[in-house]
Amino acid sequence: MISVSNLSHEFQNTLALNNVSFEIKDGAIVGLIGPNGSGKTTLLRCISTLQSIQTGQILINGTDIQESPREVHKIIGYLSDNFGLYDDLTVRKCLEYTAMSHIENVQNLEEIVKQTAIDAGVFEFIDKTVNTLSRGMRQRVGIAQAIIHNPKIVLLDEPASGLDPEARIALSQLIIQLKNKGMTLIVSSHILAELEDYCTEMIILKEGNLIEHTQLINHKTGGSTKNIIKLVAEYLSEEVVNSFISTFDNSIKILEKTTTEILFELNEEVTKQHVLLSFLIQQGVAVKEIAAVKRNLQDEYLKTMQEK
Amino acid sequence: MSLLEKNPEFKKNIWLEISTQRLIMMPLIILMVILLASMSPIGNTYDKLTNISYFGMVVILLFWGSKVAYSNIIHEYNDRTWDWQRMSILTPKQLMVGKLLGAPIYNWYGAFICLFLVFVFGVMGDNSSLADIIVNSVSTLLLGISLLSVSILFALLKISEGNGRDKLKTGQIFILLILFCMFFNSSAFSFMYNRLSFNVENFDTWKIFGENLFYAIWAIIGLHQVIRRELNYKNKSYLWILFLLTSSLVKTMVMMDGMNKFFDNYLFVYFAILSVQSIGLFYLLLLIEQNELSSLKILVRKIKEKNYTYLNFNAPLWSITFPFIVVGLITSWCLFDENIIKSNNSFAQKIIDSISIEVGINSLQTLSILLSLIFFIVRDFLIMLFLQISSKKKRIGAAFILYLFLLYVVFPGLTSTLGNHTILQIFIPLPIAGSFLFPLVECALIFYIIRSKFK
Repeated sequence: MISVSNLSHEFQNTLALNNVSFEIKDGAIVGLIGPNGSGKTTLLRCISTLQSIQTGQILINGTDIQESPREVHKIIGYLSDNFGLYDDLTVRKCLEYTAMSHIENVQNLEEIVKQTAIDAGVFEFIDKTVNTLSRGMRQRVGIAQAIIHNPKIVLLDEPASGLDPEARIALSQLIIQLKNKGMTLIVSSHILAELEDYCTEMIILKEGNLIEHTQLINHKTGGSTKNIIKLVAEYLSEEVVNSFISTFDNSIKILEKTTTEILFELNEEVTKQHVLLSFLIQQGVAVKEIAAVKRNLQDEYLKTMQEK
Repeated sequence: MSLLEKNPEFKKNIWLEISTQRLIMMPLIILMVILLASMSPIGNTYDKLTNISYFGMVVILLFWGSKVAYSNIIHEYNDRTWDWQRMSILTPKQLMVGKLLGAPIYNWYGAFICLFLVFVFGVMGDNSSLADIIVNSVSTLLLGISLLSVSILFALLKISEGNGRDKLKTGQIFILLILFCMFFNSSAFSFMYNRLSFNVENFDTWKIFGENLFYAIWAIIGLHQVIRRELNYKNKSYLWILFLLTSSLVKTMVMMDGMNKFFDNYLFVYFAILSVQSIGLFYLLLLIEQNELSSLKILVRKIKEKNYTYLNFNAPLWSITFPFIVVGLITSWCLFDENIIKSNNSFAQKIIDSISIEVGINSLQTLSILLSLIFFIVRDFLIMLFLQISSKKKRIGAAFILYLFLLYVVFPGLTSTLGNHTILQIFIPLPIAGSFLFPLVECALIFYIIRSKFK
């Protein structure tokens, strides 16, 4: 659905994005991660056509966004980091304005506003002015504005920053709800624990370069899984480890290795741990522990940042 | 009602700007001022009240209104509500009307109250004809449209420098805006000033009206173009060229009215105005247009690729303006000799005397002035480019103005007190054969520095 190829963007003599390429399929929730100044906001603004593309190409549903930006606006919802709200208007008027300016020949304006407010969980505050709302509620109004025209793609720039834990959990639920409605989401954030709740993919940016684009374990959103297994033994000789790797050559990727522990990634085709266990026992290895390990997003991120 | 229903942007601005309290406050304050003025024993009461109402219209619409229109865009940008608008399906026309009439709606409201009072007191005063009152008032409203449009246009150019994250300050560019409008529509401002001092006998109100109408139309076209660009539409550059050519034509017609005793050659005046106007705009555009190094690099790449379609849509306006400076200067220089000096024009002779040229006008000396002028402009452009590479983005405009002030005011001032014309040639064009070599060397030097720094 979203295809970014060789995207570069220079800003104020700094390369904000450097030859970034990736593809995102329908229905994904992509976590866009990276330190400050890594190019996350620039990337989101380029996809939403708010920033001009200097080099490269972005296709959305096969449409080049440089050729038909106005067509792309109809299927994209974008929420900037401070939500873009009119503080002196009521939530109802904010949503009415956004609906009138985002939906062609809008019919049933009241119904659309009401339904969106319910979906975003702001219906009970609908007649309050925005400046009386908490940050969590303002963020929900922002999301309501971004989805009022029922876009296929929603881009959220740091939606969770400054939210309390309760509001973050509510945000996670809302994002999963949007995915279930068929939307594709790209969410940039610093709070990795919260992204872990709903992301199916992760893109890591560092100094404008894409350094990792990977699928994630996620049971809530049905993301694909990686079997990471930890094996602890009395002693793991070099010979045993080598025969272990050669026997399961195509199925195993050693991640970490010491004389007593191995952490490895197991291909999905070989899912039965007992096959491994019987092999190790045959080799005379005194196995102390063998178990699947859940590596969280933070581990993945830190590991990637250290490696690259 | 129709505008309210069909234009969400206008409707939103009404929600934001209008309240019962504000609706009552405006006429109340205006009436109080009128009441206080009527109590003053000086002058004819009706004339005085007409003038105060006119003054109110000028202040509320032109000054306060343009400030509101400008700040509105900057606030929309800072609050990121501008992003919603850019990604909306609003047409450039809807957005333009919404911004021009909607954001300063309270100022329009106040201006129309004052306009009504101008009519009432003008008719009661029996001092000027109703036609004159109408033409003057509409003229001021047109000036209001121009000023408000240009305010919004400047604000949109300002926000195009932003990266979508940092906040921008309001008001920094405002002095430039007022200067810009005065530069273009000076007769309207001069009329406005004199109108406030009861001195309008020397003004042709219809001429002022015509000029105001012309610039109001162009201000609206300009605003429409900039909004189109913000909404990701592509603009062709021919409109800017048309503006440069027609604006010079209008100025020529206005000027020749009073100057024909000095110059009888329309073509000379036309090209002289074209060059002066283009020089003014060139410097202004260098300051306000987005001249990021990355954009310039893309521009150079597209020129090398001979991608004329890209250039037609994306070339910065200063690059389109520069050829008009050169054409205007060279043509007026040729025509000055051919048609003016030979006819023993006394005014032209005064100009020649003032710059101490003792030889023929088409001599090496005057050719040097012409070439120096062009090379100085190129040098200043290179200084701007140098600043783009070296400085922090926020300080480029201020640094550029400082450089210009040093190069054209401080250093020449110090040098001329020493009476050293050789050194003076480094800073200003002088009628000395070969003086153009100084700015040429400066250009080459700055170009070399930029090139090595860029590498």
